[in-house]
Amino acid sequence: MKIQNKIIYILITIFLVYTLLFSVFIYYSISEYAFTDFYKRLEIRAITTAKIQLEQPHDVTTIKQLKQDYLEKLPQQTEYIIPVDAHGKWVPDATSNQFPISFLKEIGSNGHGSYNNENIYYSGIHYTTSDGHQYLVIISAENYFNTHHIAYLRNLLLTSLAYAVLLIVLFSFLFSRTLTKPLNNIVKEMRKISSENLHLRLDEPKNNDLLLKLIQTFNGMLNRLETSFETQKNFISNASHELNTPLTSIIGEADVALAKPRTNEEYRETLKVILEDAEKLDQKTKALLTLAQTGYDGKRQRFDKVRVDQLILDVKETVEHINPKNKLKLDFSFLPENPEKLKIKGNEQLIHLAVSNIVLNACKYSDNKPVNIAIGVDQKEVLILIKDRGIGIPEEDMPYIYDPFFRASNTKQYEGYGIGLPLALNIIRIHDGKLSIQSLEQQGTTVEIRLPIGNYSI
Amino acid sequence: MANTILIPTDFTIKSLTMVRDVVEQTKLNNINFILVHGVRPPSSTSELLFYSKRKLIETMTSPAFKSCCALIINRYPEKVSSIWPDILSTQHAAGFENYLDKVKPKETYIPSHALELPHERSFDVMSLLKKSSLKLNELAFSPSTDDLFVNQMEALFFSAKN
Repeated sequence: MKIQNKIIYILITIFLVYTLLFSVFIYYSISEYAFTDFYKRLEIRAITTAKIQLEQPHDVTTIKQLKQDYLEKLPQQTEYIIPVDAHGKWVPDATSNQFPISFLKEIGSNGHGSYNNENIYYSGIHYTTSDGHQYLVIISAENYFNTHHIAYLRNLLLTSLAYAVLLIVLFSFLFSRTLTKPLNNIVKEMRKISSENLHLRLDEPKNNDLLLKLIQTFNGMLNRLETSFETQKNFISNASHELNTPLTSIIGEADVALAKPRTNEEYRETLKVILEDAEKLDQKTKALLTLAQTGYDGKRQRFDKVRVDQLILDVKETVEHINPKNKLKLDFSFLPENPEKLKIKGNEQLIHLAVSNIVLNACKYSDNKPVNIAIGVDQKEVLILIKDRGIGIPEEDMPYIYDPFFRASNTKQYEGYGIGLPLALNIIRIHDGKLSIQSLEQQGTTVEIRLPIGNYSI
Repeated sequence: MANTILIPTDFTIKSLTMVRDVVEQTKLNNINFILVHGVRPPSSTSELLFYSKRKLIETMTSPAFKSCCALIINRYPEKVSSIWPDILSTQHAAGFENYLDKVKPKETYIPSHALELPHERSFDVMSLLKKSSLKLNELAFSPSTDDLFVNQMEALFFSAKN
């Protein structure tokens, strides 16, 4: 059953049962009250009739007056007076035989009594006159209220019940729709997201706790999905981009070495460089493979202790090798005294890849102007700042810088594939870190990397 | 025994460079830095009803500022035990003396040039400090390599000194 229908049915049932119970209660108590009230009215009439008919005429002129003025005659009102003998027995005659014996007995023992025969209601009292004679005075009349008003009340309740049902159906329909509307909206938004536009995220509502949680969870899932999707999608391009640099270096070295006959020493030197580059190649292949694996299953990633200061020094070495003209300046002035705080949980090759990508970009796009790298540690995170004074990123390009193959509009004269930054972002995300980039065109770019401290015990 | 050092601040990261410079200069250890900034209390009754210094400090300090405070504490764990931003609400000399009685600073440093007034009710604490009974040490901001910061945290890191 659809949730919306379920809500409608539940609401209708609850409201219907409630309204029914309410109406039955009102109907029952009003008719009960009408009975009691009508018997009271009959009793008053019985008393006045007894006084008027059985007492001396001069004693009862006031009561007679009152009866005439204020006690209207009820429909089919009939009065009966049955004499009672000294033993309390009524005289059986035509009048007394009309009534059931139990009714007369009730009047005799209680002093008053009542019963009804279909729509005619009877109420009687036991009356003793001032001169000691006893009588049973009985008044009967049609209960006008019961025949007309109660019917009216019943119709009224039934009509209002019918209207209530209509209202309830309408209300529960609207209610269930408002309830499911945000969910439907989310579904609609979710449908828009496909493998082509995985960067889209759902808007987070400001005050709907449950939905907010749902949306945050969904967005979190999308983050992971996007990371793994892109890792896979760009694996080949990433691989060729990353493997190209050491390969070029190897080819270059070999080329130069073979250009003319060399001494043994020179060959050894060349081979050393080639070996170094080949090792790097090996490392990168492994790192990229691991990166690709993280796309399938995050748990397969092996994380070890990584010391960030050591990592930055390694990055500097790598960068110097690839781009000897760089002017890298390290700022270790905020290195914490406690080296344990510099240790993060991560894959050294991957983070190395990410940071060296960013630093190489900084050198490349600033035409080898000085690039600063600083490290610091705050409460929870290791902070790496990389600042260049290069061409910067135009403001209108900022939203797209993490898209694979995207290159900012001012980078025409620089070589590149637009893969380094998305790759770095993927790697930082795998490590639960944050990557933020601030840039001013023609002024420079600052990249801020935050990685959570590993919390290794000291 | 903790030693208190009082420094006026404008909650910019640039002003935090002074904390670092002070740590480098001073011989004190186990320092509680109190970074004081002047903000007049609100004048409307309803605003006063919900006025809280903690909340005000929370809104005036950026995440980057807090991060930099932690950075300094991690860098000098022996010398710096805490860095507290504080709001001074009085503009009167007598009230300020009361505040100093409470804080009891061992040393007080002021920057050589004026601070920013980031809040609409901010006022200049430096004039109060100059009128007070404190012995003030004037410090110049370390000159920066760049005047323009792309990322505000750069102010703390890439000054010419490093």
